[in-house]
Amino acid sequence: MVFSSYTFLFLFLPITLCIYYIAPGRNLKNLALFVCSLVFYAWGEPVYIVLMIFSILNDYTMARLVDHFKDHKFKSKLFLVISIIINLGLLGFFKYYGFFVENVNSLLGLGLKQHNLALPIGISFYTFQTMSYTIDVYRRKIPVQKNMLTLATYVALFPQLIAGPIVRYKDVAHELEHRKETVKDFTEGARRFMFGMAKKVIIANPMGFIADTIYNGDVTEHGTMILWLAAIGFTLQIYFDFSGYSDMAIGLGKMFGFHFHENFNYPYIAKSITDFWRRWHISLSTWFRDYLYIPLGGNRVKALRWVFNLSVVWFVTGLWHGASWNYVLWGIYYLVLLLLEKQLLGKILSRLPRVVSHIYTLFLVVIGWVLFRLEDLSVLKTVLKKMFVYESSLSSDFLFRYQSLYYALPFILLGLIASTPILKKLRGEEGTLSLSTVAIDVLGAVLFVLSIIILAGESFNPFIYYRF
Amino acid sequence: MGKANRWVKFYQKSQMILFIGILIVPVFYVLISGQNEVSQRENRRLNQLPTFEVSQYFDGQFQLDMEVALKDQSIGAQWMKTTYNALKRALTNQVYIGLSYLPYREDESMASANEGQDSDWKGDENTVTPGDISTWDYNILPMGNDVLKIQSTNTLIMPSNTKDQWQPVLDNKSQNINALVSQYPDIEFYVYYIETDHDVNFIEALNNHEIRDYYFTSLSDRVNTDSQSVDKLEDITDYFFATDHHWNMAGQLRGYQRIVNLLGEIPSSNVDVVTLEDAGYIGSKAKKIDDFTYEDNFGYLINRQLKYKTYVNDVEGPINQKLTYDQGYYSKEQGVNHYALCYGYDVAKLTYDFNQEDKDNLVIFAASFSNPINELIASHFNQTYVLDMRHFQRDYGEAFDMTTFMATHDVDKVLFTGYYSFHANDVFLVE
Repeated sequence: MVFSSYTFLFLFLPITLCIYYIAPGRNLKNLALFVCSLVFYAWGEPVYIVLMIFSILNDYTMARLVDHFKDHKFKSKLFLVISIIINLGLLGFFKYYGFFVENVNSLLGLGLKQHNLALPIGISFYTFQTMSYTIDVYRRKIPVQKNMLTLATYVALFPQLIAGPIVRYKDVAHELEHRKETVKDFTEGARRFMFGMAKKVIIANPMGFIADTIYNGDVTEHGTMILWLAAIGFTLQIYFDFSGYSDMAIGLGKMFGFHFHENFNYPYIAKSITDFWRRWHISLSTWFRDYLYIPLGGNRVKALRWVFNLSVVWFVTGLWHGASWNYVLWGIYYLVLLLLEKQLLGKILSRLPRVVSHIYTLFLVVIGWVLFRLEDLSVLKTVLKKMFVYESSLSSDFLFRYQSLYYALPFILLGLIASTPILKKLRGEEGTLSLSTVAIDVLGAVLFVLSIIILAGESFNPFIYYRF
Repeated sequence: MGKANRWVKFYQKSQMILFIGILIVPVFYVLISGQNEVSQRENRRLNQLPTFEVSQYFDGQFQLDMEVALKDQSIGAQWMKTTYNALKRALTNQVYIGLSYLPYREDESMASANEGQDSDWKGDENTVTPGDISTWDYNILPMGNDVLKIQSTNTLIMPSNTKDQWQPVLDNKSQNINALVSQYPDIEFYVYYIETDHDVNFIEALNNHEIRDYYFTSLSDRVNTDSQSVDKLEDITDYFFATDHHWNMAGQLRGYQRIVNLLGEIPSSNVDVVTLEDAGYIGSKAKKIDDFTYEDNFGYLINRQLKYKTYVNDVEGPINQKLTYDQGYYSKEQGVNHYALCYGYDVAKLTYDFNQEDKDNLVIFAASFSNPINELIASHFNQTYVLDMRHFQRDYGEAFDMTTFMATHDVDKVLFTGYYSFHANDVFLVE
């Protein structure tokens, strides 16, 4: 089930809100939330829900054992390692086994078989969440959670279950047992949800249509201009899709009394790649920082080791996004840029006019998204070449060849505007009431209704030759 | 401060109620008002809320069915779809108009659709290459969903097909017909190809009849052929519905006359062309883009002197509602599928029995194009069987078998008639 669906909006969410707010007491509320979250997950994964439940049980048990043996370093560490192996093992088997087999077969000429099992929805997110819980228990940053329902609620919590943000247990530990639902939080959450929905449906979907139409066909047919259009389309699609979803998750969390951290901070106004990565998918980058980069030594090591640490992090970051070499290439691309900025460009950029550093950042980010989008390396090579070696897109049928994209083009401008914090600045502080506040809120409601209309409209499916 | 706080709280509560209201109303509406069965606008049955079945849940079908049903049944569903499509069309048009001011042509010598937009330039007819239609006077506007519109006449047109695109399927068809010709040497075979907008490349201003010509040259010499060609713009705008892929009354009359001539008969002069003033017709192309702003005039051809019996799938009964329409009984609701209601739905087998034993028996292999004129053609024969290969499995529980049919029916002439979708489509092959 996705948030931008009628099933979620008009069946699941109202029923869940009703059940949740009727349930008396914190434990029953958590139970209601947990059960509804299971229904949410099982809607899209009726079989693999077992996997998620297994993951919960695994980390509940391992964390209890880690805590029980906290004075026995070896045993405590052993159970931590077992938990990590199981979590990474699950992720590796479902997400990376095919990639691994394909490369081994290619390199060594073996005939290993793939399993062809579908990737369970959200596995990259919930395994990281459960791992972070057990690691933090081991590090004694949080007390172990002895109530399985509370832990299960944390893991399965539907707002962030399938697409993040990656919520650390320590950030919601208090709220799991002591949260207070308020009208203020509910309305802020609803508003955030509505704007998130609008980002996804009104901007991300048309941008995705532009990118898919151009990239999914024969890319050799397109000239430079069209390929740049596709790159910009995908740049906007991925941001509004992901940040829109994060907004909806954060908004939904608030409706139930949870306060998740921000996952995006207007990354497209960044003035350097370093700045960009402080604003993009914050929950993932901080996860890798805290659970991979720092344990490896971070930057408190010799230069060569530091480069190695960064390389590992960016290799894994790339691979986390997908089991394909283009994602690794994307990770390495940012590794190189970050190293260059840290060693050389950073100081230069800070002295340049903001608009120059902004253009520099956006240009590199757009190129990065092209690497990210195109899994076929030969297609990627062709596209990059055509983007930088001019080839005309014009032809006698140009105006009609791309007619299916026309309706989506105006939304590029909307996307560029919405990439900036202009609406946030106009609205003002939460809890205040002014003309601009009301105007922005009305806009949010209008955009939400428009999103609902668009979702219905996209299901328009005339039967042209019905009995005909 | 307290008063301001109260206003803020009131405002927040109002927002909460509004939000919850938006979430609750659609499903409440369905529960109270019940589910809708059919959408005239989309020309289909609307998806109904599914009942839960474990097997369907595990294979994901229940979830898909639920989603599409909610979108079909929620309050204002049709209005939302219409609004969305109208916005999409408007954006498509406006962006196209904006872009059309750009210098987009790579090669000045290439003909293009925009040549037709410049009313001062009609081309040099002495140097126009064969198939070049740059002298045709038309402006086309993209309408979304691959549909274009000839602005001056509101005629909707579809992307053109090429011979290369359809050659394998055309080969299958011609081989199929040629095999029948060899198998049945005593029967006369006829092919009537109806050219439509699909045969004309309005974008690149080319009309070279390549599909028809290739098809005809692939057929046996024993097959008698004729076509309803598109040689000028008016062959589209005057002979086809603006909103539909079918021919209109003028096209039907011309088709009837040419087909009957092809079959060696003389068209009747008792055929009346009736145009209904209050029955607007919105056809398949308009429905594809959900544009109900323009309606065609609807009507029918009728010969009131004909006396015959009709059978639908071998059961005696009326084939269409033409007589009912002729008596003035027809729906005036917008979007009603008059083509199907008046001329008859597509079924596996129609039989026209004119009890004229001195005349030949005819088989017509067709799709929907012949529906308006079947009885007019049949009036020149004794028994006429109109066969639609698509529906035999549905209507008879088994595929059509030519050998069995020929063993049980006395046939003198066989006609294949339709537009490209009939001739270049393996589903219409005769087994």
